[in-house]
Amino acid sequence: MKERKFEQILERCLQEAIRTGDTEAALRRYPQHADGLRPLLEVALATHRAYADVPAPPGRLEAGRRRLLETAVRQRERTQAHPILKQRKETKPKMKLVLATRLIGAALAAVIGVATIGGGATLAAADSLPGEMLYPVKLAGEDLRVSLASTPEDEVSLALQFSDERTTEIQALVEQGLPVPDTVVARMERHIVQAMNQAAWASEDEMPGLLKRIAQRTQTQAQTLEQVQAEAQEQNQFQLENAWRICQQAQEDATTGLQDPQAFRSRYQNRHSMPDDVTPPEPPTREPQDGEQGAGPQGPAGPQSDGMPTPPDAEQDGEQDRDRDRDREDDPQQDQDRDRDREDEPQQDQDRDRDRDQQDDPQQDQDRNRDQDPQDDPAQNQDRDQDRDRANDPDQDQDREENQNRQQDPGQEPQQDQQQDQQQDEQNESENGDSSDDPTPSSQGDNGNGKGNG
Amino acid sequence: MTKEHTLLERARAYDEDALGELYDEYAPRIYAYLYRRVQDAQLAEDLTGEVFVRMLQAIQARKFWHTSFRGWLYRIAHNLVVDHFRKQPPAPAIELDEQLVADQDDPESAVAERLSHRRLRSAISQLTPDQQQVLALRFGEQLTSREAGEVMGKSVSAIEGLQHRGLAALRRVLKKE
Repeated sequence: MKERKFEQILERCLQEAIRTGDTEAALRRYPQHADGLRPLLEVALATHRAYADVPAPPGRLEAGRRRLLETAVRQRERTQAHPILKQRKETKPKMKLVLATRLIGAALAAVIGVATIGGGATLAAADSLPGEMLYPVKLAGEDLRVSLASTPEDEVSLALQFSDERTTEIQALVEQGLPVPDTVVARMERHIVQAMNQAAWASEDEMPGLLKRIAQRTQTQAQTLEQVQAEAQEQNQFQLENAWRICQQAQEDATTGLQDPQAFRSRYQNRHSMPDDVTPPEPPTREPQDGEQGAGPQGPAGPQSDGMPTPPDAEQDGEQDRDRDRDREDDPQQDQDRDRDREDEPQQDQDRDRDRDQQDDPQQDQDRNRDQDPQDDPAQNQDRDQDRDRANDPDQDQDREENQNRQQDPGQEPQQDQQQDQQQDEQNESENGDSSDDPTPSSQGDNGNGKGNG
Repeated sequence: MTKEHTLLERARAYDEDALGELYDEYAPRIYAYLYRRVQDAQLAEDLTGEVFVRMLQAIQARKFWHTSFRGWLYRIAHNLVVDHFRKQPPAPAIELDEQLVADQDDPESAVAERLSHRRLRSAISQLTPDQQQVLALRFGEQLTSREAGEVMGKSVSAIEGLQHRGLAALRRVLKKE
């Protein structure tokens, strides 16, 4: 509560200081907070000045304008040349149904023709598995059905159906002791992102229903994958873990989206892959299997995957993400340690506060952290647990966060700061939401990011 | 129907005048926002063009914004920045010139005057993406907390909390340097 009040005061002071350029006048209104506010206002004003310094665009933005207009002309010509494209976007559902029926009829005729010639091979494709000759036929059929979908609801239904299909394929491959190609997981991710994307663009009336369906289906898929993973061979563990994470994250995001649709829209509109926090585990090094398109060590859930090879830079980025993700999710012991460190921070902050004006020494801080961290001593842990009971008191939680936010932490490297800040942002955002007009829950806390909670 | 809606309806029919008008109106702001995020004028200009192509695709698919058009453009721009940095992580922070680094024994009130834009931008790049975005929207684009919240899909209180932590983290990074 105190922290929220301070944030509101900071906001008022910022508005005044930026408007007038006079920091001191703004501070005089809140003399009791002046010490805490002053450095923040100074940094804010400096940022404001730095941000005003924007060079003129090198090409005077003309290339972008030209590109936009050329794209529009091309699309218009294409639409005029192929009215079906325009009809697909604009026709009413009934018309779309007629259109779809005709196209399906044509497709079926082709299928029957191929079936006749190929001895029913196409029909058999429905049960084919990755690596088999007829599998591309099966995927082409799916793509055709998606392209004929006329409403967001249809697209979500198909995307979820095909995501189910990928889960079934993964299960079948594992049961037969065959390797699970990365491309199968990549395609599964694409289906799920497609469903999420459609839900993110849906109207306010449609969105809750779509999100509930996505949450239910992806939860089931995650459960299935978890069971399959328990029996999977070592060679498939990475792909199974990856697929499970995608489903789990989708389930959590869809559930959170029900409570905060705006945040969900922001997260999933214009996305072509799962957001940053879906990060795959460390991939084993192995040679690509026959028939794989070489999703690379990044794995299919990596940035902008869509089944395409991942650029080396993105791989490096994904590596860092994975490390962070592993730290956050896969190691409960580390979570406990981190929680312990976080709870110890007020004391550390006080120590640091005393030294604030002195030269900072990261090594000393590390030593201090080590001295204070009793993780190797169970007895001390127990004592600390007792002391920490008070950490369950929301008021004290609030005070602790205030300390964390107010105090400086000179002993850490920026990268560590950023990770801590990110966690802090997520945590505080959730708490701010509870205490105000944003009902966003913590997706990690409420939905159990850890696999054991799933 | 607002002028903006009329323009967009025309733009949806590939009306070049309407598209040009929308571009001229919003491209400079989107460019400035992108420059503040990526700190590269050429890249910011390229991404600005991409934002508007995506806008065209979205309005063709009737994927309209739910709050404000401008906020929607910022959101597309933000997603592009995130995608860009996923493909190509930002370069490590630049080496700081000694003379640009504020003396930590100096009074706090003098620190702001000593900060160079270059040093500050380098420090900002070390914040979390959300913190960078909130600072760019609030102090660059000069959006209100509510407007920034609409862009980021967060409540006013969440934005103010993020802003507070972002400023505190920025000061921490600057002090450390």
